[in-house]
Amino acid sequence: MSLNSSDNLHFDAVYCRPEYQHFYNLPSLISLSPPPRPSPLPTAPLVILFEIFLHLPTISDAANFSQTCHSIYDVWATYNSSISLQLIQKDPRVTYEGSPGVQEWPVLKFAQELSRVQQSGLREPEDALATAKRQLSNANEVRNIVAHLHPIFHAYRLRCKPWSNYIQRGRIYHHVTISLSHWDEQGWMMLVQGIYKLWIAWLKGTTRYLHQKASKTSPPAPGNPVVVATMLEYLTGLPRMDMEGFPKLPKGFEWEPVGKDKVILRRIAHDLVRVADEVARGVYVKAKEEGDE
Amino acid sequence: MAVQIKLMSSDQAMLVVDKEVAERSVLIKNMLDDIGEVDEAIPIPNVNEAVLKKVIEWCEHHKGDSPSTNDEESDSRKRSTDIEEWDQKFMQVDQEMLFEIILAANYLDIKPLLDVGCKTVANMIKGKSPEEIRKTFNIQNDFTAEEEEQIRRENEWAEDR
Repeated sequence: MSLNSSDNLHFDAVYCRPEYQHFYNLPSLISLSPPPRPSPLPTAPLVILFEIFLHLPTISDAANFSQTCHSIYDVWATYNSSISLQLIQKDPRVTYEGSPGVQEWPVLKFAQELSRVQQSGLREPEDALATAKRQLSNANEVRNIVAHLHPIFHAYRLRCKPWSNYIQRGRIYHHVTISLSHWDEQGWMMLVQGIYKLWIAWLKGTTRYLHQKASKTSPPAPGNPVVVATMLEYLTGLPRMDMEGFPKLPKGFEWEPVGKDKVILRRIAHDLVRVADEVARGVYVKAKEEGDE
Repeated sequence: MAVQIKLMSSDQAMLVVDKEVAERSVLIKNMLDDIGEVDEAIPIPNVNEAVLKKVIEWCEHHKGDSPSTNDEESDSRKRSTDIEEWDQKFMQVDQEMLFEIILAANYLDIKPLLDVGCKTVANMIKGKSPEEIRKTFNIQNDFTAEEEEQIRRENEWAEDR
């Protein structure tokens, strides 16, 4: 038996209706099978997602996990500091491998210090800020620091871009390594110490802000304006530092950040870039508002 | 003879267990401390029979373990990714059951079991890309392409280099 064109039309009209499709249409059959059940993971209570983060072996595992969906990312974004600090301390890839003759490098020491400070209720950042507060006692001074960068937004970006790229790509280590031939241990320690203390202070402001207002729609944490200003000072001031002024290192002394130092410095660099971006954005918005007025 | 207590699961199944075993759960232990010995079954409204049986199986195996008393021990458990052989076999269940056990451990306040469960999940995540993790757990990617790119940039500092 053969079908003529009107039969075909009839066949199409009747059997291509959705209710008949599953009798002969393989793709439809496939679509009829129950879809795989969605994972309960994204809807797990916050405390469980937080625990899972803490049990991950490395920070890169945590970062990859955070990139899977919104709810998991929210936990990471809110508790980023606590999670990354715990993971830094147990990361098997970042076993400290200091240079011969160097017992304990500052960044490692500061990491331990940071952990201690966090456990003791974050009192130390207040002390760390004392110097900065003396120099920059109010919001006007904060604005003065960036005001000379005119035209505000573009000049700021231009000025910071090389330095942002510099630290963002991890070149801060290179920079440190290369210039170590002109630096003594003390000079390097001072630099890292300063950055690190500011970082702690900034983290503290950020963490407090996030705990108060954690939500998907929260704007980026503004941080303490004094801290932001001081970090900005660091960002703009560091390239101008007279590195030749430091006494030379002892002969044969070499150090390249590895292991734990590298991970922590990367974290600091990341935060510094964020601070710079936030300040730039704030300055731009302010300039725009003033222009509109 | 060991003192026994009765537990009532969310689907109304009655399970009889040694008090010592049930007291691996801080929730049940505190409850028993508060109300003393009772004949009636203690309701466990958030845990069904199948999951409660698994949890009791774990508690029975670990009844001799010393209860962790301080944060240091808990931290050291977090630092290690090792899971005892028996616990590894115990956790060889489908994902639904695995998460039910984790939720039950959290509800019943059995910290070591919660750690084993989370460690098991962490080991399933270890070394995988975000896409591989999504596949493993059948997680729906609810990010837009722009969001994904932004988060990838944000997390750049944590990438393996």
